[in-house]
Amino acid sequence: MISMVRSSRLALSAYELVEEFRCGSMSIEDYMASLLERIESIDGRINAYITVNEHALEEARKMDRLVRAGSDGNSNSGHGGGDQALLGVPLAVKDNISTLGIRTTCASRMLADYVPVYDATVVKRLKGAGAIVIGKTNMDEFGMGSTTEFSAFGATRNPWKEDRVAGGSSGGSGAALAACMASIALGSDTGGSVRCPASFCSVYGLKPTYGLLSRYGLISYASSLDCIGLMARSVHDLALMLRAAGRDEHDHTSIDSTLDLRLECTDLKGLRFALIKEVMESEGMDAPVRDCMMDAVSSVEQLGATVEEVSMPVLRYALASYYTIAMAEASSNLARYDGVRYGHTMQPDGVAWNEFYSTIRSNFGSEVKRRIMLGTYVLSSGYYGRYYMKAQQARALIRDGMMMVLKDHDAVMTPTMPVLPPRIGERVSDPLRLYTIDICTVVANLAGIPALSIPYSMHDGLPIGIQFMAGHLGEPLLLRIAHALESAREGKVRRCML
Amino acid sequence: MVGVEEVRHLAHLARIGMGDEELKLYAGQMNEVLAYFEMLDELRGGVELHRMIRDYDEMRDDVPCAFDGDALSNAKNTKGRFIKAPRMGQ
Repeated sequence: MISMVRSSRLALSAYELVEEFRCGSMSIEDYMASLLERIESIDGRINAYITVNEHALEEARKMDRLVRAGSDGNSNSGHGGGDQALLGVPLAVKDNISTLGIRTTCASRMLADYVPVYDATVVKRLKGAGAIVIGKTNMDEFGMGSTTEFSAFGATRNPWKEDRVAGGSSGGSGAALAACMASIALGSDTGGSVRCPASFCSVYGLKPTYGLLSRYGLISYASSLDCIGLMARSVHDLALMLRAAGRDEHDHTSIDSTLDLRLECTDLKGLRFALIKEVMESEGMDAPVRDCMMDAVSSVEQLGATVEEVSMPVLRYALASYYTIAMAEASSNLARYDGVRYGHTMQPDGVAWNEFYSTIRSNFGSEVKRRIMLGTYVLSSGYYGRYYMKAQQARALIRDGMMMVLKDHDAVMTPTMPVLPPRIGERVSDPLRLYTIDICTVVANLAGIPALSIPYSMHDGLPIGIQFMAGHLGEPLLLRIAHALESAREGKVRRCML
Repeated sequence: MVGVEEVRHLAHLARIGMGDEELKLYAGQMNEVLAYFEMLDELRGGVELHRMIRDYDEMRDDVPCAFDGDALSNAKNTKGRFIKAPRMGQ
């Protein structure tokens, strides 16, 4: 294949791309071909994709015909936007989000050949707005991990430094964006799985308010915490993707809401942010991350915000609460993998049920097995009151604490990750040490509030992200903050390799 | 403390086949994680758990609706129009 589009164009934001496609300065097919060529040439090293959509080029061609026919205006109505706001935009989808006719593995041997028979609502709505699924991205198996090393398809490498992890569990989506192998991406976020790779790969990652994006078609891990999240290289693109939000009859917990997502304001005048003392003083924070955080505080103050320190001692329980609840829900949700209706199986003739079930389920990866076992333990009689009930109490206290802080402040500011991206293999054999790096992200999932990771700076070639958390349905505020910082730091932070 | 035999029992409850080496590895790792979770036991009662941020007052009617697609196309062990499963007894 011959490259048809200059490589620097692969770094364009979705909203810039749509303009180019609309005015005809570039064809969607040429763009898609160039992107596929880039995946072909570099993804052998990065391993961002598990499956590339073999029909992507054909779909791009169809979209070009629509543009030529001038019918891109009103070809779709309802959710997703009838204005084709994502016309021809290549979308990477995490491999735990169902895509009609495209293999969806959850990076697990258990679902290695599973082909969904429907699109997740979010995918359907983004396709309705004109996006084209380019492929399915690598992840920690069933979303369980923070590094994308627990994948049955091998680890994803960080495009900025290939001996480092890309973050997780949506590491493939983060790496695909940073390496210009997609324009926008979907991830899922149960305890930080969108924000962690966004931070480690220097892109934006939004975990929305619980229920804002339908979970229909997202393969369950821990249902009271799971959210589909949005990843992009520009704030404007996140706003475009939020068109997928809104009530869905297939997800009883989805919210009907209208958000004002206009990005006009480039200052932060009048806004009050809180820094959490216990986070800032935590021993596990790398010095460059702390320095970056202090620099970010100066930046938002220069833009007109005030920053105050608050104390929230109850955050001491955040990780224990999160992991107890997530593992308990996982042990229940993953009981469905029985080898009968879908997924990995064996010949059942003459085999007893327990043996059949246990043999098939031995194919889960090590981290998934660990979490199912721990979840089974904390729910078992005799331990339920000691772990699970207490974890729910801690969750209620953390949620109340965040609500209190957010009564007096517009947003809470933390580093997204307390550490720089670890080396591949560095933490994988020590589960507890790996869990501790989620300390800043799990809070938003426990409280059900939105949180956004903003690419802020680099240290020794490694990205550092800053996280803002806001009250329920505070997405417009989070985008305003990100937009102000994006404008103020133009040229100071890179969001992709090209 | 979780011993190897308790881990074996948990593996049985979760229906995950495991060898002795794996059981030993998980026992060690689970003890480390559970020791960390112990801090939750410091919390005493009096916390109201079931407050909702919003009300889920609408329950969907339990009415079956047709699925537009072949919902069972991923089943591999089939015989005619049936799906084969292992026998329930021993």
